[in-house]
Amino acid sequence: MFHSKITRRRALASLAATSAGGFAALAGSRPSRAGGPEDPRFLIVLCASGGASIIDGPLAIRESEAGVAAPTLNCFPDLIFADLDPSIPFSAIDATLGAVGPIPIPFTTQQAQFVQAHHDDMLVSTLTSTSVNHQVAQARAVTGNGAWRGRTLQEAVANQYGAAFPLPNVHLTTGTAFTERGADSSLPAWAYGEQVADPALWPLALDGSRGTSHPVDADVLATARALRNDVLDAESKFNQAFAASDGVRTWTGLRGNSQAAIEQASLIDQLLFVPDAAPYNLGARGLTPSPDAATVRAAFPNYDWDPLHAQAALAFLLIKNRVSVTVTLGPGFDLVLEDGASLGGGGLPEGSMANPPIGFDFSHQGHRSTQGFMWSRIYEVASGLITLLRGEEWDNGQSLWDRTMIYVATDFGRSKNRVANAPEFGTGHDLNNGVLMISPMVNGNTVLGGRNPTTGMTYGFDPGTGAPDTGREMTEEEVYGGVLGVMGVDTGGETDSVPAMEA
Amino acid sequence: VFLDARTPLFALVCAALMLPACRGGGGGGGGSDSDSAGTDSAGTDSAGSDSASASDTNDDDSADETGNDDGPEPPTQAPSARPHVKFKTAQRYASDLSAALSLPRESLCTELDSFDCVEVHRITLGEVDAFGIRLFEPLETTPLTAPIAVDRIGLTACGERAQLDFETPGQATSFAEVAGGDASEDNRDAVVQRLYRQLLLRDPTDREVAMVTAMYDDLPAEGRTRTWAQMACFVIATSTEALFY
Repeated sequence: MFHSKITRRRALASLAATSAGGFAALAGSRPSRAGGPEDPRFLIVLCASGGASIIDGPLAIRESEAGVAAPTLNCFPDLIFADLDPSIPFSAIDATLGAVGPIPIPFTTQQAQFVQAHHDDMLVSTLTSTSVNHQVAQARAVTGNGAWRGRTLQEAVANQYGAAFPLPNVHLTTGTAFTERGADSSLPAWAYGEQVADPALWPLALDGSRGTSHPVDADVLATARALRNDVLDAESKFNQAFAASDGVRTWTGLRGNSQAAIEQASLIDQLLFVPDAAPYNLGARGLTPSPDAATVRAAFPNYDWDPLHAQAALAFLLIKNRVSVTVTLGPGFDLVLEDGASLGGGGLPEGSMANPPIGFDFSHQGHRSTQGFMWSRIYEVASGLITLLRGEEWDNGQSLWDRTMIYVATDFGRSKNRVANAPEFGTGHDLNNGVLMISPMVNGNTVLGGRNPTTGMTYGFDPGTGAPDTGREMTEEEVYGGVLGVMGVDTGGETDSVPAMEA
Repeated sequence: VFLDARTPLFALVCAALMLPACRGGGGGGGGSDSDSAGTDSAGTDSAGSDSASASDTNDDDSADETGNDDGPEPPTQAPSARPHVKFKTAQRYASDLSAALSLPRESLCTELDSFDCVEVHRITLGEVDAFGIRLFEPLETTPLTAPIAVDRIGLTACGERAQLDFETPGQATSFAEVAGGDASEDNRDAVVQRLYRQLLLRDPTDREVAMVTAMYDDLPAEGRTRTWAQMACFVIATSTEALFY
């Protein structure tokens, strides 16, 4: 059994209320029980930067539900809702639009296909966050607002399961606070995120010689490194003077075992997903694409111009090849156009834009179209990852997907109102929202809490039973604890798990 | 940076910290050659021109005293009381390497013959990319892959220099003494001396020369001289001293 049903933090808090000394004593006696790489679970944090509004995705509201509030509420015509089985508690909207905000590009939102295929693994938990500042909110989305000494979800999972993995925690996206280092400095160095700037070429940095224009035999490189590390550096005046500096100490620590472990795993052979063709020309430098390269390129065909597809391709390979236990990816804040796309003819060709400027936050300019476009993007990438992970056996008939969670992290929600009957409108930031988790390990096909169809506001639930509670809002700390509970991370009583989230 | 043994501050730090290096009248001369200290002007380190102890100047062979036959003793240096050094980051390192090895920056190193190495690894090596990937500050944590990236750059740049020098020995800038095929110990010594001056802007100690020269014997026979040249350059170009300032 993975789960450790967590001792109650609130019980400690109650003790603290009556006896500060008692609390301190208990806090100090908490055992450190991190570890357990032998039976890992995998966490994919899919960052929906900019504010993925849950009532534009799986909790979308029909005009008929909203009643008299419909004209000024962010709700949708009943006709564009996909006809899903009544047992599915989620909404799905398939609509064709002519623009994303002011950007003239036709596109079709495609939510039904994903929901129909994966509803059994989908869990929506309502959430009311604590900041409408992007950076602050993003950081809190992965730390539970500092729930566990500032440790991020990724760091917690890496610390629990990653000891035997070469790079347990890899960050594939940049420019967001979802990948900020957490505030807990007590973790081992390998538990913090390893940043990847370019997923296509980053695997080259996994071997010191192979693929270079002047490679040498591994033995030659080992001989030279031994001389450098053990003799020249160790004895140099520079090192004797500055060995205590943080930079030199870190550098010296990274050389040696860490470096050797990465190279000995031959990761460069497993993680290059680009083809052996221009401009990569791997074969000319003695390299070959990963055996899975063609498969991941088929799943994420825009890898050479859409950073999210490239991230997803590498994310799968990192998990499949037991390199990482957690990966973080997501669409960025930059406009992404296919090479050669132009506005000739008055608009962009369909499919030529992968990402609008500022991602989900482009909802300021055009809420409905942006949310529709971006939710489809999230679903598309999640679907690709799920399909690939399902195809990989872990052990005893269990697939990698059976041990993986995709947590769709987002900053916050969006304002719920619109100009009367406007089909397109701009929105601001709103604390009230919800988050989507996808995994066989969650209590699937479930909405925990709910949304008021006349206000668009979400309400909470009982963490133990999952019973809706209209008088309650769920906190970042609760969602954080819930995710870690599903992931089987032992928090030593620092956070509560949420049994209602677990399968 | 280095403490000067002639200053009262040095005596104060020694007294307070009881540093082993402080013993013996100036402690391995660590402070006394504060101007040389491996990070700036060449020559002063091994010249023994100040109050440094014998072990610091490294001119004598301690094997005579100890019966040990491992060559000269390594130098000793007092630990800095304020050990604050900075990583060069990718662009600065590439610039230094380019100047040291007389290689145009654009041909210093490429990945897969198409991509500039330094650009490929620049985030890993401490740069930012505000306009490309919205990375406004250097990574807070040094990536596990950073030393490997440095090795790739150093190996490639040194290999490039070796290729040019061995193809046209008459125009060699780093490996002139061995590029013609004579890898005698004296010639290798001369190359090591030059590499230290080019890459670290200082003279090597006798022990450093001996150790790098001796690496030759540990390499495979085929193409040994050129491989040694490349790797002699590599061990110096990727040393901690070359990467921090």
